[in-house]
Amino acid sequence: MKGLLYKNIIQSKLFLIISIFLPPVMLALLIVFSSDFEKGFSMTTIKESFYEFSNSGLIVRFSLYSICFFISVIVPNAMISADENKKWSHFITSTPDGIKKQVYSKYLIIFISLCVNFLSITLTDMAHCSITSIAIETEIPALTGIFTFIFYVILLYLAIDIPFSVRFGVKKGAQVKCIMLAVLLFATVVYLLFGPLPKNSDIILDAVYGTIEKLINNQLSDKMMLVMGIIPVISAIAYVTSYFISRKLFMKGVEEYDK
Amino acid sequence: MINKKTEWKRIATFIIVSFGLTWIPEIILNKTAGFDVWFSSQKYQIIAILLMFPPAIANLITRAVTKEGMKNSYLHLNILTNNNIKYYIAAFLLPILSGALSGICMELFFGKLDFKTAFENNSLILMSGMILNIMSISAVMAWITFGEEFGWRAYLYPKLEKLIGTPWTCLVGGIIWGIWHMPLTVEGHNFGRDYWGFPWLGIVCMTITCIADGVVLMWLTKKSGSIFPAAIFHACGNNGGSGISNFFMASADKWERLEIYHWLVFTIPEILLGAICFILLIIDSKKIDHVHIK
Repeated sequence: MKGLLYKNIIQSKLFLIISIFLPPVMLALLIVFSSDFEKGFSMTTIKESFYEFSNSGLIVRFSLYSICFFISVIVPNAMISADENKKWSHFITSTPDGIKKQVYSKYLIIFISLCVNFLSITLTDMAHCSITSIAIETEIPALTGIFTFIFYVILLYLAIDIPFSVRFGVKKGAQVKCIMLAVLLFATVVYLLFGPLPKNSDIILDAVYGTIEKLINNQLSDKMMLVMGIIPVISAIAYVTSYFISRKLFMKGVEEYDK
Repeated sequence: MINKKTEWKRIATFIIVSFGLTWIPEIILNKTAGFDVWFSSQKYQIIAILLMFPPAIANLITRAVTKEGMKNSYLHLNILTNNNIKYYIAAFLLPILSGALSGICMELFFGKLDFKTAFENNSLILMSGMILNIMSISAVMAWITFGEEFGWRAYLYPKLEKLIGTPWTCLVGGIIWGIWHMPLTVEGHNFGRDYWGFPWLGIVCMTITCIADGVVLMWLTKKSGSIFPAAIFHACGNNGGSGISNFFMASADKWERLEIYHWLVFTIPEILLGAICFILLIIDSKKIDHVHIK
């Protein structure tokens, strides 16, 4: 097990490094490139840009970090495709508990990479809040609560996504997912064309923004609090169940590999 | 066969490093920025979090300096082996159960036993939501408490246990852990500053809590062979496990406004839980001794 985990870490070290450095680098780049270059490139303009970014509200920060979370959605496919080889798969399944260990190590490394990504984003945001508090004397709320929620939503997504990649291979799995997404998109378009919609589309945006703000400020209603609490439980159970499903599907997936 | 002298040296190195790395910055921050500013405000939030990591750093430094290697690091998850998942579940549920019992104790001693009003004031939906949220946040925020657990429970406690046995480890380990919190306790952390016997009584109370919690955490670590259930238990306690008590209190003072004499009652369930885990640990250690004799 240690060996497999070590192999997975080596195989995906690039993604792990990106997961660690993406949030602080993105934040720094956003601050630098949003500065007013007409005034010249200096520390003063960067400072001004930092003040502006820190006071720009929650949505800008939320969007920035959501992009950073995206890496956790991409990584699993890369990690699974790294072992899409018939020779390797037959070799590993010939060892005691081979399938179990192979699938478990994949689930573990994907989970670790998500945790690393979450940790990096949380620390970057906390550092940003601290610097803002010292530099501008303004306290901006940390987004830890919402990051936690996103963490579990991604975990739920992974629980659904990984078995597809295991069963059909990453390539075919992506095609199957694309078909499903197309069906979903079609259903959404049909609903948007013929379904009941509020006359003012701002209502939806306001509702989304309001929920995010309430989540950050800990002002959720009782029911919303319960929903926010249930989703992580579902995600955790789904991820474990997904592991057992993938174990069963693994050999069928091996037959689909090209070489 | 263990080399007692080397083990004591390792323990001494670990304690010096973990205390040094924590106390020096904490004392400097207390004197310069002031406790309320650096510990509670957002300005130094990241430093406050990082100051939970010196025990983990001390663990790594001691292992490196004394050439011990990473044996018995307790870093394995062990979640799907030997039914260990039950210890993970216990790590989530025990702090919440303890918090609920603390609320009942507070209402029994300081309230009017008005549980009906307590339940009417709070909906079941809110309580369930809060419990689930505490659990989910604790799971992902356990990386913070990992800093402490990887030091105390994964290094100090097992080392002490080999040298002085289980009962003394629970006591001595808890005292060391309690004293480690001293720079915070003397500035009013947990109990404030406005009580008789400040700050010594606070230090004693903190040490008692650390002894009781340390036993539970030691039990979780030993049984699961992993440090992660302990980190989750600790995170659950830090992230509002005790706040559950508020649901069971109608007329007694809420958890956020506890005086030190309230605290004595509030921690009764925690101490009982510690006592139960202590008994379980003793039984286990006797079983192991019995096997060794055979």
